[in-house]
Amino acid sequence: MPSSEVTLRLRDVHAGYGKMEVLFGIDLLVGDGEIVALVGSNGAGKTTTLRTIVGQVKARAGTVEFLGEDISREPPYALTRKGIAMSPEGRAVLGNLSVFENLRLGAYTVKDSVRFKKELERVYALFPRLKERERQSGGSLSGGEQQMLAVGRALMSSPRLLLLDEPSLGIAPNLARTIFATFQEIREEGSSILIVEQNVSLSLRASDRAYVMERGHIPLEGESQALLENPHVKAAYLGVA
Amino acid sequence: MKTLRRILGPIVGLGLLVLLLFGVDRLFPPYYHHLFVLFGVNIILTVSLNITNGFTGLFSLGHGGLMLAAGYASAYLTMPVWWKAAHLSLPSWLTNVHWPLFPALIVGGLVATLFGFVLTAPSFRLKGHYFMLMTLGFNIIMVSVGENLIAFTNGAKGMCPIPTYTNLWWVFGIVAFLVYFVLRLKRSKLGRAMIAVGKDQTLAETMGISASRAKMAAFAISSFFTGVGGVLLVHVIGNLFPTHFGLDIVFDVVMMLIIGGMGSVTGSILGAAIVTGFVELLSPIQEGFTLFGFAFPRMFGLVQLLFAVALILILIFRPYGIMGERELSLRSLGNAARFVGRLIRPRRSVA
Amino acid sequence: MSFQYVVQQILNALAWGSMLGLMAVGYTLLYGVLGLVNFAQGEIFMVGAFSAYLAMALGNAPFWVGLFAAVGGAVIAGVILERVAFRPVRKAGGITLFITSLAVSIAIKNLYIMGLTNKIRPFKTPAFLRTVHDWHGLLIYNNTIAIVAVTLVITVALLLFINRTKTGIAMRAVAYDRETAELMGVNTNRVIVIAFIIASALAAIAGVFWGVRFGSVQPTMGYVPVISAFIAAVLGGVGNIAGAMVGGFIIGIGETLFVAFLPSELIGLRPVFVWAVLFVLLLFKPSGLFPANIKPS
Repeated sequence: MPSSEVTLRLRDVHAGYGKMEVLFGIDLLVGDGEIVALVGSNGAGKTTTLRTIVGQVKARAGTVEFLGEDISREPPYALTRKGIAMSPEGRAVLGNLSVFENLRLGAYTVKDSVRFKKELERVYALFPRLKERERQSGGSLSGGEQQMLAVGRALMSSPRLLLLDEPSLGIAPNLARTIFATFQEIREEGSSILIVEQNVSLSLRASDRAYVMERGHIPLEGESQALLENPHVKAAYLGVA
Repeated sequence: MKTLRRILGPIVGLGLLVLLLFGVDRLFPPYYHHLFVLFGVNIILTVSLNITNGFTGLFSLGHGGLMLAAGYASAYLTMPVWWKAAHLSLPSWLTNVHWPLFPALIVGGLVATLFGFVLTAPSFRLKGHYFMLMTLGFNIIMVSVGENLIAFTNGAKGMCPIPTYTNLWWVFGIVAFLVYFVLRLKRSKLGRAMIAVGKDQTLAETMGISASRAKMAAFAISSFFTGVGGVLLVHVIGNLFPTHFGLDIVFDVVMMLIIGGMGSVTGSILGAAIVTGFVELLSPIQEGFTLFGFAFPRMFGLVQLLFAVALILILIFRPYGIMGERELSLRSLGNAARFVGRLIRPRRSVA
Repeated sequence: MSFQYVVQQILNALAWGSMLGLMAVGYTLLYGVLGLVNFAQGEIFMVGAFSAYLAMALGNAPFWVGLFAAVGGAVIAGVILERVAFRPVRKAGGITLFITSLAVSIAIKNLYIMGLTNKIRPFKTPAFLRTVHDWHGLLIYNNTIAIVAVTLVITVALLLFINRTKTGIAMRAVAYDRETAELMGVNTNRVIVIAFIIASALAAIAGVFWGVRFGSVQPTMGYVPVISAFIAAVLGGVGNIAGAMVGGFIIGIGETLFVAFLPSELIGLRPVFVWAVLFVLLLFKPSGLFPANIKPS
């Protein structure tokens, strides 16, 4: 893929916590307008990958490039301005703030009030249930609604790259499917998406390409459709003998 | 054979201590006796505080109040009858009592523990901040009660003169006992439970440790010996003024604890030595002095200021103090000695 | 003890309640956003009062300039302290932060004692604040009216700030979940500095109120409101500005009534009231009377 069309590129990234190494040389690419999935089982290192991208964990080796710029040394709060937004693991909805205030916070880096209103309309159009619950506190929402809020909040800064950490975790399957269905629309509105997921079948069906992560390595990658047919994937992750 | 080796350390230590005390007693002028006694009292206070603040993570700021409670209780027992009759309105059996130091120590310790528990009770099951605040409040009201219940305490005028029963032998006898006791405690089941609670209370509880029991045991032991320290203190300075036991003394002991290392008994001894020494050294400077022809005026508050700044720097750069959680043991002394020996006479390499 | 006496006591206590409320709001902001129980707030309060005193006594400045000097001096002190003493130990946890604040408090207090001696200094209160009105036998001081009015205005302004502005929402977010707030682009260092600026300004204004109300300042004055104000903050719920202000008035009025009903030789027992409130509070509702602004643990 020509570099002008690359949104995110990880080159040989090593990272870990304290003495514990978690990522062992990760290469990953998200192109402009792509929906990419990073799948694997619990503890494979998927969340660590996202945390390394946003700078919550510092990469010990390798580089993280966003739109051609090396962001490995950037602190997390600088990245929203650059165009990366994340819906973190566990959704991290701010329970003491209302739905509206959570969304307002998502637009913290947006200076223009006209743009803020436009983004708010867009998020409410994608997730009408949030508008219904506008004044309710974040802590009082159900799991599915909190996920919608987390995604909507991330969209408020009109990110070029949207990172989603386990969006289907703890949510009823049809609600998860509804949320996943919005990803196409989000992509069409201009964001590339990187989804990290344990639910392999759901995320492969919702993405263009995918990487399979196992114990800090990426042994398998390719078109999502093809991976759905892959015998190793089927055996290990899709429960098919 | 093993038991002999285990008692060898403490016996040698005790022997050295006795030798040291004799030395101080015979060779040093009385002023230094006083200094050493204060040093000993500070060791007792710091080691006691270590049990709650250092081991168990219960950050107590009430030791001034505990000392005050113990001080009053012991003064009631040891002060001359005529003085009590003239200045206080105590029940007659108490006024007519005139006891020596040892029972006063025990009663003082028990009274401190009682007051401590009753007045901070709701905070044991709450998070650290609340306990800290509750003990601070305890300290403040103890001082306030001391200053205001004039019938029982003679108010801010204090109780004076208190018989000066404390001497080097009493203090360091108790120091020796306490140090030995706490070192054994640290290795005992209860002690390790306390330390576990201090490191991670939730984790300790999942391992079956009763956190509230460990905390209460720590607070009880600590309060008792803090009370003992208080009794010793008033019986060496010969008076008891409630204002003496406010935030200043609380801060002083916290300083000694942090400098030495929270969790290390040896550290507490070192911390007490350093702070006692520096206070002695620096106090005259506050009175004003001349250096290179410049006359520095009286600067009251300089010593406290320097100590406070020192503490801030320590918390930033060396928060674990000198010893951290480690203790000085015969083995580590041996290692140190061998290291120094190696420097002096390097081992010849094999050709 | 007539009804009039009680009402008079309450009126007298309004100024003290305002001072405690302002200090309590400062405490609650810092505790919410940083986990810091800032024992040095009492000294910032004193620095504010003394900055005003020095401007008026040495610089012969009018009262308004003194007020600005108070806020300016306190804010500068607060920002320096945050950078130099508190930021380096931020990762070490609440207890280390508190000990640092204790050390800072002792350092500042002794610095002022060294430089200015612990004498009581008269505070120049402008004439219009010294007048008294008689209303149906009740004495109402002009300074009480002024203090309460200013405090209410400040409270409303703070509530608008914390609930309506982007920075205010960011501050509440940082109090709840610092990491996630950072993910949204919030620079937590900046938010914490802003919290310190607000807390210091509030303490400074309380310090000026003290000078106006009691007519004098002294380097050890910081010690008096510290514990009461912090308990007021706990009473009001962590991070809750309105709660802290209400808590300040409850403690201020409660303290004053408590002392008013004590026999005269026991009025030094004032701290017992505040300690008793804390005791009962921790026994039954440690989270405070109003909802807190931090993640429930």
